[in-house]
Amino acid sequence: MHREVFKSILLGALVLASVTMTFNILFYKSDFENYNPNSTKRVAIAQARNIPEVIRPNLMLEHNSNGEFGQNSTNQIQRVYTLLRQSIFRESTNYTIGQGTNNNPHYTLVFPAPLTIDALSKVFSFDDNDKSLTRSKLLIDRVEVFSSPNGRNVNAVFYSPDERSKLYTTVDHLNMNNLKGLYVDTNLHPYDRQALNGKIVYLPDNKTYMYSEISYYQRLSLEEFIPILFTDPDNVFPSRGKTEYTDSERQMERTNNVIQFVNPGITSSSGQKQDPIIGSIEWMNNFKIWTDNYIYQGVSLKNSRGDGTATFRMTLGNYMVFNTETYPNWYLSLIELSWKSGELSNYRGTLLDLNPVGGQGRIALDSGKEILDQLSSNTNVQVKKIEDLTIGYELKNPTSDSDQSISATPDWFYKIGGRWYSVTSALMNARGINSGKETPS
Amino acid sequence: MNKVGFFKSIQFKMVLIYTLLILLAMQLIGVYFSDRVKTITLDSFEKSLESQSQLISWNVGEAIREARDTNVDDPNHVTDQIQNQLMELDNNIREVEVIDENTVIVAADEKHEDVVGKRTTNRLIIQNLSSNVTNKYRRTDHKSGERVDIVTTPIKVDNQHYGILYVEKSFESVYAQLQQINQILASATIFALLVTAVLGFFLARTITRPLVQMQRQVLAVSQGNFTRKVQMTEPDEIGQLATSFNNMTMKLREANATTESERRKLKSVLTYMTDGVIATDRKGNVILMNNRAEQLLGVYRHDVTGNSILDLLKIRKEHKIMDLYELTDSIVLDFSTDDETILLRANFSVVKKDNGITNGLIAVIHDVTEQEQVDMERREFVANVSHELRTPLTTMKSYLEALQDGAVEDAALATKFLGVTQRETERMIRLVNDLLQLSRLDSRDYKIHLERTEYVEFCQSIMDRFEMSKKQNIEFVRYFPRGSFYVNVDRDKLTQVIDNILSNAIKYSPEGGTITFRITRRGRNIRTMISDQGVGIPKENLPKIFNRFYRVDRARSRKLGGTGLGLAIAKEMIEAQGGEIWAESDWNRGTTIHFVLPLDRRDN
Repeated sequence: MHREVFKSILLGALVLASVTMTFNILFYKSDFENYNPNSTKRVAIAQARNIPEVIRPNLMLEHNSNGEFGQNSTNQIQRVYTLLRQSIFRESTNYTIGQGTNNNPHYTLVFPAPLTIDALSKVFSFDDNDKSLTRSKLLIDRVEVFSSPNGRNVNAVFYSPDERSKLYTTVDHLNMNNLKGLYVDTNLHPYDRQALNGKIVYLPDNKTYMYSEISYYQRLSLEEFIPILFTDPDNVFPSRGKTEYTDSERQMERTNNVIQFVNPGITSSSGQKQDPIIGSIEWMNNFKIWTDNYIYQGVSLKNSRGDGTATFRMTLGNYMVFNTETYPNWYLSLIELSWKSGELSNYRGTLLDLNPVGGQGRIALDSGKEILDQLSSNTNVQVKKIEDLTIGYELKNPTSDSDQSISATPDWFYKIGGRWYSVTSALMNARGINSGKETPS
Repeated sequence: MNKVGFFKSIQFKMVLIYTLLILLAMQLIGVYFSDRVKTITLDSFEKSLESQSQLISWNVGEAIREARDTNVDDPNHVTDQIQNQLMELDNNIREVEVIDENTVIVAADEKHEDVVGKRTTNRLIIQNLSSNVTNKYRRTDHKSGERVDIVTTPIKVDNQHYGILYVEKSFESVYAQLQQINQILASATIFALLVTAVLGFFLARTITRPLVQMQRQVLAVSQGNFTRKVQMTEPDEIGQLATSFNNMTMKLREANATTESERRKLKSVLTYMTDGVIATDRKGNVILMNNRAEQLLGVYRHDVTGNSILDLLKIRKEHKIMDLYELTDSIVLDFSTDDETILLRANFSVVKKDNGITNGLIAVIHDVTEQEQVDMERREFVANVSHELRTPLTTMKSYLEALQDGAVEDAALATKFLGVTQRETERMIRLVNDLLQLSRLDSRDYKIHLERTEYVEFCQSIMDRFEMSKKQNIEFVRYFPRGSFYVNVDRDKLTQVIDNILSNAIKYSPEGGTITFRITRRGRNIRTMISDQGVGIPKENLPKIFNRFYRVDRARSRKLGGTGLGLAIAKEMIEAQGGEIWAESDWNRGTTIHFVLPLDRRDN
């Protein structure tokens, strides 16, 4: 063989070897044991919810010359809610809309907590061309619809909880007669308007009769949340008797029947901007974590980038469910999601999946005004600091593993400093066994 | 040519360069790689610790919140709850402390439980106590020298600042891993160097092999072997070099042959040229001389090579080397000895390099002894002729002036003066005749009429004539052999020769002296000796007496009427007839003139 050919072959082999080694260095893969790359883990726990099923009003009111009349029936409210959601709202600069003193009734839907405009846009149809609306930083928790004085137009005003900030709109595609018809078909009760700390609430002016709800429950396994809350489930290790799981960066633990997840290591600030309410609902829908009926119950915004916390409260029938025990049992009927830089930084929620079986023991709850009077006169509760007041169910943390049933007791609940308290407990603490509840009849 | 040592060879140098380049590359890669790995590993370690710390902080915050919500009035319960959160932590964590806003250590890990309840003086804790962000520090424990990572994380309880969590974890495990990586990298470097060295050794041979062949070729060429050729293996640069080298060798062979031919020619010229040639270096030291120069200077080249040409030519007193470089005329060197006159003429020319720098001298030496003698004799001859002619003319002028001044009135005196004038005139005529005769002899413009002559009888007749005409009291003694001896001679010229010799003998013989005429046979020649008893001739003058105008005693000779040309004419005539003439003399005892003539050996 010619020397030149031999040299060329040798140098070519060296070049190929060099390229191969360089390729190996750059794209090195360990010779690990084979595994199935298509392995999946079930992340659907329960079911998904449409946004309007979660972001929904819990009170419908009619203002007329005789006063305030309302109804908290979910079915009735949903009918009105659906009708309004089919309408188109267009922002108006005519601030005289809401100042009409005409005798036309005003129809109001009240949400349990204020909504961002982004969230509101998901449930109501606003004019797409109205860019100023999306820039609004208003927090809206009620919408009032009424006919114009000349009866030709339908107007709507969106209010903040204290009813000081308003968004005036005109409504298209809404037949006012249909709306009136829905209210006429509804058994409305008189309601009393009360100004609390930062919020105007409408409370039943008469006694409210409710039944304690008995429900079987199923406790969700903590491990079911691992593929949901951790990006690398295989790298999650248990500790503290499998009540805690961590991948060194994130941690998930169970306290009683509450799951708490934290991801404190989020440092990136380049996350995609999203509304925490919508983001939370979509995240919950992705993993189908809605075990029971939940209603949007509040938001806490930290900045304009979307960092904040959204909470969703369990509902039984027409009422929300509360837990007023010690922290973190509050989350027995609550789901709270905190977002930071587009990532989930905290998740707190219940591990209970309720299966209501029926009511028993009718209970009459005092009117709202009476409750406020009782709190003011019989307890140390500073009524002026009360931020919210509502009727709901008290759900105690089940302590016995043998009994798979749980009881939800109707009660008044007030909110101070962001925490809900049982009026009954407050009155009992103040007066021994006395309470705002009457004996079952 | 010595063989190149391995450590001085190109092959070794190429291997060395390969390995050094690889070493440099690996070092650069190693430094960058180690630095990046160190940075990434430490950052990752720190990030992990930060996450861990934040989790602990969150847990502590939650524990405090739960404890407060459960048992508001029991601070010990809060502490216990916090302490529980610090259990079962990573073993590599050196120290964990929970410090409240009063800088009091609320809880600590199991190893540091003794500090619980005390106020901390840790500067890092104090300065970060109110911080709302996680801070990280890398420090070295001044006691153990251990490198540690310190993270302080704020603890928040229900969004309220409670204090900070101080976590300290050792970096040593990370550095141990980095050390291991560095060792792997060093091993890889050594392996790469070894592989490179081995491959480089063999690859370098492909380059150095043709060079070695060329080195051998150069060695062969230097030894005069132009027949070898470098084999061109590949048409690369080295192959082209080999081709060029072969071409150069061929042209060198042709040039060498041409040079050798020229050198031989030059050597032949130098050897056989009649002039001596001496070559010197720039300092004037002899580096070459030919045979003729040796002969002319009477030296051997081996003895004088390296010596200065000034000493060789014996001109050190008159010249310096620099003078010779600028000398345009030739110089005459006198190398005469007591026995011999040697005159040499030296011409110098400067040898210059291509760049014009003086490189040496070439001296061409020519023997001008004969030429100089001829010139000297000519000058002497002219002087003698002038002198010999002026003397009678001066005498004649003096007597003629005397006659003009009045001596002509005195008849006796006038006769005497005219007689002297006539004699001087006759002497001048003789002198001129002698000169004409000599001139004809020199130019061979004469004719010799050889006749077979019985020599003894011929000489008897001459002697008889002199016997009869002699006026002095001189006795002629004849020693003639018996028998007849024939010679082929021009009788007139031989008569003139013998007359001249006898006349001289008569002139210089004292009163009553004897002139001996002896003829003897010597083999094929016949020898004639004519002796007088005069004052004789000094021995040193004997070779010169046959020279023209030579007189031992000029005044006496002239007084006796001689022209000084007689013996010179005699010599020319004898030699023209195939004979030889010479003289012998003893001071104050007389002179003998010998001449021999070849006998005619034909039958008598």
